[in-house]
Amino acid sequence: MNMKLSFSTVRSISGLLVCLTIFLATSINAQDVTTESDFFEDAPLILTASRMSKPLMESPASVSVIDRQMIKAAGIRKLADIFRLVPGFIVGNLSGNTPIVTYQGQGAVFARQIQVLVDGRSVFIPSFGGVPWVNLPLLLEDIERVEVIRGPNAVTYGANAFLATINIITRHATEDLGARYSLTASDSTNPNVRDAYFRLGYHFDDIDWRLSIGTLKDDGFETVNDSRETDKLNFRLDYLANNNQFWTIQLGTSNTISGKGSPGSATNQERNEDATNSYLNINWEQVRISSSTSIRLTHTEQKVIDNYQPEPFSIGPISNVTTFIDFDRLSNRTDLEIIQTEEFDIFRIVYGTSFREDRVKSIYLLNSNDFHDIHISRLFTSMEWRFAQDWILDLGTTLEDSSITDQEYSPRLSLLHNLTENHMLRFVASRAKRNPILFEHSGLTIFSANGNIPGPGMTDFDMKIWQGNPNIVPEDLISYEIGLRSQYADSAISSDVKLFSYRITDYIDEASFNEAHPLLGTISVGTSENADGFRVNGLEASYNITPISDLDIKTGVSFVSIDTENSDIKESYPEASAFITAQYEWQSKHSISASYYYVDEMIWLHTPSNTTIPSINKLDLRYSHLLDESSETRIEIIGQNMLEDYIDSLQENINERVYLLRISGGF
Amino acid sequence: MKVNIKTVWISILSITLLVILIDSPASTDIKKTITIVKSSNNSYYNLTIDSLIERSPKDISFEVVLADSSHFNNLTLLKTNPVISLGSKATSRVLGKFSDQPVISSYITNNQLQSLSPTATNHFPVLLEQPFERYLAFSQKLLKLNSLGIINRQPQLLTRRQKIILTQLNLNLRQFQTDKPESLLRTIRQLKSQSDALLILPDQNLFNRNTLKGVLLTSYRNRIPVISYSPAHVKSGALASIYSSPEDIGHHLADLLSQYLRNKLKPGQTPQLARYFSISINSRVAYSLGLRLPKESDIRQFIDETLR
Repeated sequence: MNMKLSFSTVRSISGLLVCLTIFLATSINAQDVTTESDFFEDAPLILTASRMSKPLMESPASVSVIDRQMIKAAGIRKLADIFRLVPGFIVGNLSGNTPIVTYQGQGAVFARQIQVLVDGRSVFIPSFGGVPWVNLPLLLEDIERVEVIRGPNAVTYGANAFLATINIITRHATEDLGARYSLTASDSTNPNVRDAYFRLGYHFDDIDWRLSIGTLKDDGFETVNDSRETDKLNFRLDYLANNNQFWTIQLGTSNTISGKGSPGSATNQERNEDATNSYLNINWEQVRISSSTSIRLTHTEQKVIDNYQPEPFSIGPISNVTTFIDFDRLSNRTDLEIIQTEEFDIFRIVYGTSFREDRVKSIYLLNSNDFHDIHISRLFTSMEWRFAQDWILDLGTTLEDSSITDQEYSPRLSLLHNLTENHMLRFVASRAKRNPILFEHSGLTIFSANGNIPGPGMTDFDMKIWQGNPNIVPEDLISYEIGLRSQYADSAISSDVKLFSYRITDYIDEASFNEAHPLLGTISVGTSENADGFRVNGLEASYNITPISDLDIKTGVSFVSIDTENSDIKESYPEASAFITAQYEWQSKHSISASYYYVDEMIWLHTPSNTTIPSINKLDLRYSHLLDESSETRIEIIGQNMLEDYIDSLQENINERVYLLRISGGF
Repeated sequence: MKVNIKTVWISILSITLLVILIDSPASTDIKKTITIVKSSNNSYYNLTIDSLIERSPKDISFEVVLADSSHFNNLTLLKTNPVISLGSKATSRVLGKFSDQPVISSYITNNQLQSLSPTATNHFPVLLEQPFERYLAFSQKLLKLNSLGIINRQPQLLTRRQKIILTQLNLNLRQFQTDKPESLLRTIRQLKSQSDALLILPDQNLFNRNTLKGVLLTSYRNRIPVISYSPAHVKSGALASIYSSPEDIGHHLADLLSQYLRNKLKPGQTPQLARYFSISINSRVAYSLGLRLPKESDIRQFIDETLR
C-alpha cells in the first residue's frame, strides 16, 4: 500500500470536513427538557474498561504519567523536553533543531531502543530509526497526557518497545470545543522564538472535531546553523455511532525547514533541509460492558529533501573532488492492528494481531531509487488474573515475524501483591527484542565522485562508506525489576521505587571493515555488528507530593551502574539524573512553578567526537496569571536555563538563559 | 299501627349505610377497576405496573391502556375513579380528555410538569427527581467529600433545611454557573480546583446526550468523580447515581393510590419528589479512579439517618 499525503492534501481534506460539519450543524435541534428517557433510555458507553486506565497501583510495569497540567507548569515549549520529567530519561540536543531522547543511556540521534506512539500510532522512522521530535505532526497544546513505560514492553507494543515506551495521548475532540490561541516569543535575538497556535473545535450530534494549526520558529544555538521553521496542521474527528462504536479519524502534516551543516566544512556545508511528515489514523472501536474490539489503520509518510553539491575537496591523494550528496529519503509505514479485550470476574484478557509494512527509498541509505520493504506480522496476548485476594498475576507474550529477522517471541510476567491498602509490591520479568532497522541490515551508502588523481587526472570513482549486515540478529534484553508503589495520606503523597537489572546481548553496534579501493588503497567501511552484551543495574524513584491543596511537587531520581568493557556505552549512561518540579497556585489566578533538572556527566553516541558532556544543572521558572476566567486568557513568563549556561551534546551547543512570554486564551 | 322499634333502627342503619356507600369516593365501583394510561410499551412502565399491582389491595383490578390507542379515545370513566398516567404523553392526554378526573401521574420531570399548564387541582404528580438533600447525603457518604460542585445556569437558592443538611454533612457546596454548553468543559476544569466531585442535576440545556461525552471524559481525565441523577449516565461512565427505579416508582404510586382510596390525598397538593430510591454504581470507574466505596446498605442507612 502506498498512500501519499501532502501538506496541501491534508489541508484540503480538513477544510472539506470543516465545511461539511458546519453544513450539517445547521440541522441540529436543541433538546432542552429533561424527560424520562434521560433516566431510563440507553445511553452511550463512553467510559468502559478498555478505555479507562488501570489504577497506577496495579500497573504491571513502571509507568510515569505526565499530564497537561504538569507540561504547562514546567513551562515546556519543545515536545522532547517533556521527558525530562520522567525518571531515568535524558534529553539532549544534537543541534537546536535535533532533540535526542533516551532512557538511561545509549542515547544517539537516531535512538532505536524506545518505541514512541501518538494515539497508538508508531512514529518511529523506518529508515534511520529514531523519532522526528521537531517535525512530528503533533502540537503540544493538543496533548492530554503522556504515559511512559520505563522498561521493556514488547508484549504490548512489539519490537522496539525495548528499553521504554512512550505513549502520547491527545485530547478527545469533544474536550476542545470553541477556539483557542497561543502566542509565544522570546526576549533575545537568539534563539528568537516565534510560536503561534490556533485551534478550532466544534460539536454536533455525535460528531466532534478539532482543527489545530501551529507554527514554531527559532534560531537554535547561537553559533550553529540550526534554525528551524515548522508548520503543523492536525485534524481529529470523533464520532460515536450506535451508542457504543467509537470512530476516530486523525490526519495531520508537519513541514520543517531546518538549518544543517557546519560553517567551513567541505562535505557538510551549511544548508537547509526540507522535511515533511504526514499521517492518517483511523480507529474503530466497539465497546460492550465487558469486552471490546478495536481496529486501527495508520499510515505515516516521512519525506526529507536534503541534497547539495559541496565545494571541491580532497580525499587522500585525490584533489579537487566533486560529488553530489543526496540525503533525500522517503519512508512509509502502514500498520493494521486488531485488538480484542475480554473481561471476566477475575480475568482480563487482551489479544490481537497486527501487520506492518515499512517502505524506504533513499539513494543515500540504500544506494537505490527503489522502495525497500520490510513486512512484520505480530500476534500478542496478555492476561491479568486475580488469583487470590491481594494478588494479581499478569502474563503476556508476543510472537513477531519480520522479513529481515527470524520469528521471535517476547514474554513478560508480572506478579503484584497488595502488601497493605497503601502499598503494592511488584515483580516483573520480561524479555524484549530490538530488530535491526533497514539501514543496519541492508543499508548501502556509496558516493559517486569525480576527482583529480595524480597520473590519470580527472577520473570518476565510487566510494563506499557504509554496508549493512544481513546476518545481524536482533538485540536481546532480559529484564528483572522489583518495585513498590505507595500512597499515603489520602493520596497526598504517592511514590514509586524500583530496583532493576537488565542484560542486553547481541548489542547492535557500529563497526567497520577494511575494503580495497582501486584508487585509495584500503578504506574503512562502516557496518553494523552484534557486539558483546552488557548488564545495567539501578534504582529509580519518583514522588508526587501535595502538602497543601494548591501546592504540587513532583520529583524523580535515577541511579545507574553499568558493567561493560565498551567505554562508549559505559559513558553514555550517566550515573545519576534527577528532576524536581513544584507548582503553587493562589487565588485561582496566580501560579508560580520551578523545575530543576540534573544529569551527570555523559556522552551521546555517534556524535562527531563523542563529546563528554559535563554534568547539567538546569532550572526553569514560570509565572502565570489568569487575566480573564471566562475566556481563560492567561499570560505566562517563562525563564529557562536560569542557572549557569550548559553544554548540550556538542561543545558548540551552549544553552543560555532565555525568557519566553506567552499569551493564550479562548473564545 | 304498632311500630317495631327494632325494625325502625335496622331501617335507619341500612339507609345510613347506603348513603355512606353512595357518597364515599372509595365506592365499590372504584375498587373494581383503576385505569392506568401509559405513554408507550416501554419495559420500565411494565415493571412499574407490576410493582404497583403487587403493592395494591387485592380487591382492586387494573386496566392498562396505551395513550395513543383507540381504546383510550373511547375510554369512559367514572368521575370518582382516579387515573394513573405513566409518562408525559399519557399525562397530557389524560388531563386533556378527563379534565375533572383525579390523576396520579408519574414518569414526569419538573421541566415537563411546568409545560403542563394550567395544573389541575386534582392532579397528583410524582416527579422523577430526587430531593436535593438526598443527592447531598448520597454524595457525602459515597466519597467523604470536603466540597461538592454543581453546574447550573442560575445559582440554586437553598432552603433552610438544605443548609442545615449541608452543615450536618460538613460539606461545602460549590455552584458554578454557565449558560452555554460549549463552556461546560471549561467550567468543569475550573471546578476541579475547588471541588472533589461533580454532581449532575437534571438540566437538558447543560447535560444532554450531546454534552455527556465531553462531561464524562473531561471529568474522568481530571479525576473528578461524577455523581448523576440518571442511572443511564452510570452506564455511560459516571461513578454513581441515586434515582428511583421503575419498582420504586410503582411503590410510590401504590402509596398514593392507597392514600387516595382512604381519602387522604387532598386536591391542590404540591408535586411529590421521588420517595423511594435505588443506587447505581459503576465499579469499573471506581476501580480506575482508585476509589474504595462503602456498601450500599451503609449508604442507605446513612441517607435515612441524615434525612430523618
